[in-house]
Amino acid sequence: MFSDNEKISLRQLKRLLVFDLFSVSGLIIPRIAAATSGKDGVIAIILATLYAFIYVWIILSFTKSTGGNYLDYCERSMGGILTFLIGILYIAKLFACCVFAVRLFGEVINETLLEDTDPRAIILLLLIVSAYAASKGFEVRARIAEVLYFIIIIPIFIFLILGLRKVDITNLMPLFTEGAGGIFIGGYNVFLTFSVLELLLFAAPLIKFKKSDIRRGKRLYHYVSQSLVLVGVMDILLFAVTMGILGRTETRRKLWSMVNVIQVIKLPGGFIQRQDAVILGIWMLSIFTIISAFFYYISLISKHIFRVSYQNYLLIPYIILLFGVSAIPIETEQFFYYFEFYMKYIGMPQSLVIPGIVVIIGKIKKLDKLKKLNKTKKNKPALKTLLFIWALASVVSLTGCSDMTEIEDRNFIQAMGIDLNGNELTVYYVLPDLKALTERGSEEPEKLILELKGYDFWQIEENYDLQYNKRLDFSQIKAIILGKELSDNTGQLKEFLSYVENKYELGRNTLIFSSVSSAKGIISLNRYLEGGIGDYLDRLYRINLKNTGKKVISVGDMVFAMNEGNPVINMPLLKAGEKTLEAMGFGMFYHNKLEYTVDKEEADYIDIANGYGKNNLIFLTDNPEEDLKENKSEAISEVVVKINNITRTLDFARINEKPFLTLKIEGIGIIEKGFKDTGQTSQTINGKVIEDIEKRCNEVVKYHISKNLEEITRGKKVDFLNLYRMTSYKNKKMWLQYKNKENQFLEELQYTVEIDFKMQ
Amino acid sequence: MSLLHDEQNRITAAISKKLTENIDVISTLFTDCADVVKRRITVGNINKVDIYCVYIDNMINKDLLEKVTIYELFHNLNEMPARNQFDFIKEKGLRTVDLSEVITMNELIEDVLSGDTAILVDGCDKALRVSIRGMPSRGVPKSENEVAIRGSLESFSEAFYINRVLLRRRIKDTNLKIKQFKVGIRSHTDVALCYLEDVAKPEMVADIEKRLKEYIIDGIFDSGMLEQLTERNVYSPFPEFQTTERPDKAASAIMEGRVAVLVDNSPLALLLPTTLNSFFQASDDSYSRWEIATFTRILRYFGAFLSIALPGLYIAVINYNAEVLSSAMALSFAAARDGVPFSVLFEVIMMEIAFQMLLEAGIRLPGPMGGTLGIVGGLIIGDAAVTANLVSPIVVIVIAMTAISAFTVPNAAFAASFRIVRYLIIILSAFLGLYGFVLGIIILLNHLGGLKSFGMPYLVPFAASGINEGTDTKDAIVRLPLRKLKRRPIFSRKTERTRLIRNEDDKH
Repeated sequence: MFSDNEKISLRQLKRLLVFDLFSVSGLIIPRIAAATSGKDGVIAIILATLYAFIYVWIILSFTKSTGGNYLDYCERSMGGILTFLIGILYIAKLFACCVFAVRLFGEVINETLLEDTDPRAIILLLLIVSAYAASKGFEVRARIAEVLYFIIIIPIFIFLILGLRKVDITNLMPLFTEGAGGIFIGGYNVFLTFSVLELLLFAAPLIKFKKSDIRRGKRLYHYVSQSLVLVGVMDILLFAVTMGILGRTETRRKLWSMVNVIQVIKLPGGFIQRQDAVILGIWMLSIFTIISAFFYYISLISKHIFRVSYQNYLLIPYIILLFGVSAIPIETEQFFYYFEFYMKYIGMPQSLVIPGIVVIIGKIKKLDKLKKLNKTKKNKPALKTLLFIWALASVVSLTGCSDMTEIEDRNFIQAMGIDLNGNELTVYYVLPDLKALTERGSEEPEKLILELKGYDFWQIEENYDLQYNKRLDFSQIKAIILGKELSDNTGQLKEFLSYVENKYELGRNTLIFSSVSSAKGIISLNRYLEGGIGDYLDRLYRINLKNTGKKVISVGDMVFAMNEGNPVINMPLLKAGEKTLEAMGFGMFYHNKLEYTVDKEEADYIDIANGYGKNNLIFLTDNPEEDLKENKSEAISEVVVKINNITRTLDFARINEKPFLTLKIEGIGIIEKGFKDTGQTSQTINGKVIEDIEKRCNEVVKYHISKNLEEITRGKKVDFLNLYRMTSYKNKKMWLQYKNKENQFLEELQYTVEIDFKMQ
Repeated sequence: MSLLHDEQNRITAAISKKLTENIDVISTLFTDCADVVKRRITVGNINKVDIYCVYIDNMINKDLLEKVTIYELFHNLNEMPARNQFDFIKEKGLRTVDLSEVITMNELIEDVLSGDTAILVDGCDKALRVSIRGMPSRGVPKSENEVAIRGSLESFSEAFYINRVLLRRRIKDTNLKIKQFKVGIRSHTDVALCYLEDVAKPEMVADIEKRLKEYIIDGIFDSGMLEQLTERNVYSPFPEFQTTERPDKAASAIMEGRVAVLVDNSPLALLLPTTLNSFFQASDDSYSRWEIATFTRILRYFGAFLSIALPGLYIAVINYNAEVLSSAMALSFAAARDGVPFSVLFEVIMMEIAFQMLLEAGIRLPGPMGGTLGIVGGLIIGDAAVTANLVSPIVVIVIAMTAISAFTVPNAAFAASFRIVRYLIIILSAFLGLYGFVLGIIILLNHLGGLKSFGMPYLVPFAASGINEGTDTKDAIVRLPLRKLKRRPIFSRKTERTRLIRNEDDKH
């Protein structure tokens, strides 16, 4: 730890292992688990962690048998030529792992943080800086890991915990539906991400034990186990959050799908709008530790087998080699396919077979344990300086690879409206009024709306590039408004959502609205609304509608619905007045199409049925029959009840072989209007009046919810309460019975609605 | 080198029994040295003997010399014996305790040049050194660069002997060793290693001593020169030594098992080994309540991070990752940049260099003019540049924030290294956005991870949080109450780690 002897403490080893196991694997584990085990991915991860415990026990047994220095033992056991070949196998494996890690993270950075930059520049710098870190030696790596440990792990952990709030449990439940084969294969596939544990073979002699550590093997296993538990927990959290938010389709679609999740989770506080760049930045810190580890071990093994006096001499040729291979134009997904194949059938078995043979031959030859360790020569500062200078020079020389656009040269789109006329799309981009912001007057309203036409969104972007001199920037977009015709067109809406899905810059948490007519009508109100239409809608949601407990619908929800197929999204409807804008109720999007609309009043009841209404007002007239009529005038309301603390309970049962739903809604009603306290002497009268209002209120709510269930769910087959999806965790048997038979489920569904609002 | 000197500038001539020969040598050595006072005197009555006094004018206390030496030589040596005159003069003729014999000419000349008075006696091949120094000095100045709200106001001065006193006054322990030697073959600068013999690690003291003697140099005029000669990481902007002008800080470091190096003519003591954490510790941290001390420590760490990262982060976010900012902020930045003729990178570097020039000019200018320069440079030119739309107001804020943040670090040398590192981060961020920023941080962390100060990793205790039973982290970013800081840091000997225990006798 202190004496430049390449020794690290057990604590440092534990932290290094956490980074080595989590940094790259964390990005791909949700995808691997989702692809092979689906909803049972959690089980697969637990299984993989258990495999890892056994695996590490075997690896540590090998290190014990070899007396610490594996390569020296190998040489004495197998001879120089075989050791050379074994070394080459290890180098090839580490090389492949390094290329994969570099490519993967290069792609992530390229698509998220540096869209316009040449990915080769990203990869080259990643390699050079990692090699520089490796050149500093094992001790420095350990020190850095210790410093970064809490800086990286705690924010990511907090972030994942916050992400749990957004998880849709239907994406994760029910468990044990994939079959044992799927789970075991998934477990093995996830276990492959623990393969870096093999490096303990080489790291064991670099660990410094305390004099008091008599049972060294046990202590080492104990520390490694701690890191395995932590990584296992983090992996489960990652999977739960990614799969729970994105659903299976999107999680398995992209290798690093979990990065999209970072965009969706919102941290409290308003300073940072989108924290994905920050979290990725923090994550990046850990990436260097694993890539530098690959560099370190590759050069360590090479030094041994090529009999090179100084390990760091090998770093530069390896940078060039790794860069050459990493820059081969092949899809990362395709590369992953080969890499996974190699790891499954060669890489992982090799990690047990080779040391196993070495140890067995050693035992036969009765080799003494090597006690003396190779003393690593002190690092030469000149080479490290050379690497450092190279890194700097590369940055300067790669300036052309980076295509930056200064902030004033960007058109920050505040809101986007989309209309469909026949086959042609018209997109309206709303710009911010920068002049007004700097109190230099105000821009002409017409100049703040850019209108572009095209047959798809890529063509529209191209048209934009040809017509305007500033970069189109969606990073600050606040609202998207869909025109009526687009909402009704499944194909075009899907195309738009695919565009959004692949446009990382456009935040998944951007609010989305549907217009009762055209988007243009809404967008044209931009000049009348304070701060512009984007800011107005954002504030409308954040301040007023949030207060009434409305669920925020973002473009991410629509993407999720597109990928999962069956969720119903209740998108707010907007109606343009002459100079004002009005929220009109819901548009129910089902299978990427606007299937049904409800007015504001019914929307409130649907919110109550969904369990997230707050401060909802129920208007009762003096005539109970009038209350149950549609479109009753609010002016004649005699009693106004405000509903709060809504709790919804759904119970699914099978009655007569058919699904039966008991929907129970409880809450507290505050009589805002229509109740006069008649004083202490009339407690009985007061109680009676309250009881009467309570009864009427419950009846009204029950009537409307039942009506909506009947008309929308059963009549239109639009499952606005997402009941079918809910069976996945409410009633596994029912879910399995109606798997892929949603319409049948809705047809056969029987239900009862119980409303219990207690009046205050 | 002259005939009287060897290649290391040591005087090769020996003290002769013949006074005339010694006078010849000394006269030759001090030819054209107007400040050297030499006089041949004959003392005694019946038995007379010639003596020769040499000293440097104004480096001795003349009054005292006349009273305790010259007067006595003229009036008390009537009974001068015919033999052993040297011993008689030493016993009867000089009324001072600080008196010693010198046997080589080299030593004699070195002493004279250091402010002592040499007395050579005819017929004797040794000399007497009377130490009645009286060099001009500033006394004990007030600390100006490491101002503390609470605690001593004293500061080290250029006078070596005063600095020693300032330490000794704070640690009245016989274990406080002040090992003194000279560095510089021409300057003969006094250098002292101050440490607690039973607390400091002996191998560390030996290593420091070895390194101090590793080079032969003509002259050392400040501890900074010594620092550069002895450090291992020559190409690192980060100092391997901690400097302080506060005697209480130096004393506190010595108590922790560290070594303080005092250099004559330098008002700064060097403390070593040092770690990144020690640069964030101010002397008044120990005097303040722990909550306040912790809060200010966190501020300092945050300030240090900002001073390295803020301009780079600004460029990265503005040019590449504007989505990080809240909408209002992003638009306000865009509006502020509208019409500025320079790129963000150029704008930031230009303002950064302008600020550094202002800082440098402020240091060089005489005191009253420094303030004026601040007003003219910072306020008037800054405001004019913003009004003329040459720079955006945001950049002015960023640079000002960066500058203020850097000043929160209580060590100027350490804070100065941020100035260099900042440019690396700026360049990387300008070309690769947040990715470049992270690259910069990784390079910096790896560099810091590899640094050591006299065997102590720079990132201790953060990079080895378990060491010393984990107690070193109690005085790191968070400073726990004094009562909890029972152990000395890792710098000290393992057997001497306890520094605070409850006094059991006091319980009753």
